[in-house]
Amino acid sequence: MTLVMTPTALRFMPVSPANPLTVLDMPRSLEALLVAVAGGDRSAYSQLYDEVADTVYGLARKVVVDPSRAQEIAQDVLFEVWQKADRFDPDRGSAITWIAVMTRRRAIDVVRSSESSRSREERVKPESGSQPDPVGEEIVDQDEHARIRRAMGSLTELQREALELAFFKDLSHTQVADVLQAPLGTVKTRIRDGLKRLSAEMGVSHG
Amino acid sequence: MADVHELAPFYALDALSPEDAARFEGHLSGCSACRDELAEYDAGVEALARSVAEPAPVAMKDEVMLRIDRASSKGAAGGANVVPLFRRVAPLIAAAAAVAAFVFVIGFGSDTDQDRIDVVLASDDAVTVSVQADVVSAAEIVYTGSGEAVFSAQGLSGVSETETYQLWLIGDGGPVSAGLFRPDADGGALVLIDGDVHPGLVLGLTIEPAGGSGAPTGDILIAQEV
Repeated sequence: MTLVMTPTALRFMPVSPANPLTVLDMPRSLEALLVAVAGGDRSAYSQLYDEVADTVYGLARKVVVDPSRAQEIAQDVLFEVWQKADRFDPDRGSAITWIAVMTRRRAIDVVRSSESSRSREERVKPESGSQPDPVGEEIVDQDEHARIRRAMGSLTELQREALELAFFKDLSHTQVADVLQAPLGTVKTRIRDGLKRLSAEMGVSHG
Repeated sequence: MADVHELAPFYALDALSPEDAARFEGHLSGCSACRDELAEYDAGVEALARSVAEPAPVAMKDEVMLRIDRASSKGAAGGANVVPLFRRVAPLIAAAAAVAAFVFVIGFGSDTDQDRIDVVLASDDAVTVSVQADVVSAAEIVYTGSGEAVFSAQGLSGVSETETYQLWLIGDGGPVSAGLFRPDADGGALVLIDGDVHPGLVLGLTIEPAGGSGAPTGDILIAQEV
């Protein structure tokens, strides 16, 4: 039995940690943090959590409303971020957008499975005349906070309404048009122009 | 249907039907204008998502960090946490696979079993249940949506020539044998579970006379609900 390999050595081999040098040399953008997280870096994850948890929780709340369900969804998504960090593809968008889309999907799945008995139209009525929701207090920093407020404030009411229906509700583009009782072409234009306006106001392009 | 280019904003918002999303993705690889457009929308989607941020419950972070630590600690603590395969079993599986490669050569299992074990462990829908028991330093059950499953353990005591470990799947009809195995010299094991594993079943482990028993006769060493 002398030809046995030494499994003991393998057994205690840690999951490969991120190279600390590469991490230190990069600004700790969310994307850089995700790279570290993909290598199993717990402290990078902790930082990432602090940067995105309010967004994940708030987005889940916006979709499912109930706070305890939103918390469950947020916890699942944030854990999923840890597990799937290595699948993040920066060519396809920024880290926060990747995480936001994961959150939206999970929350909408929950809505679909638990509220299938209620009519779709009933739960997607636009909140007419409502103002943009307040941005969470713990978020990033005041500059970022102000930038997002300014961006949202730059939208026309019609643009904001269409964007919120498309993103926070489980609606296809044709359904958004149905709910708004507006021609599809008009709704498409509002959404496209709204997104462009938001991006322009946010200034920096990611990726 | 509308011009596929017009779907870009909705794709950015993840608000397309699966059919339209697939259509748009098919188009995207060959359309740099749409790729540029999507890149432009990224910051807008970020603004939309961040605009609804609200302070997450303080307890949430502890809960998430705990799940991560459990997942990273090779099943050392916590209950039967159901998490996908990443990270938590990697070191364990690597060790067990090295052991198994040796064990199978000397006559336990077969190449076919090894292939099936590889398939289970690599499966996209593999779910891992960490096993809590005194007889192992770490152990896991990994099963797929189709019910194929692998039992992996470290720290098992050896058994004599006249004995064997026997796995059991315990459902409403009582225990059914799920295979025999011997750990390697270091107490490791990586075996294909004989039978379909699905949530609700209990995986049991006993020591039985060589050749196995029709029903458990030894002490129940592991009884882990899946």
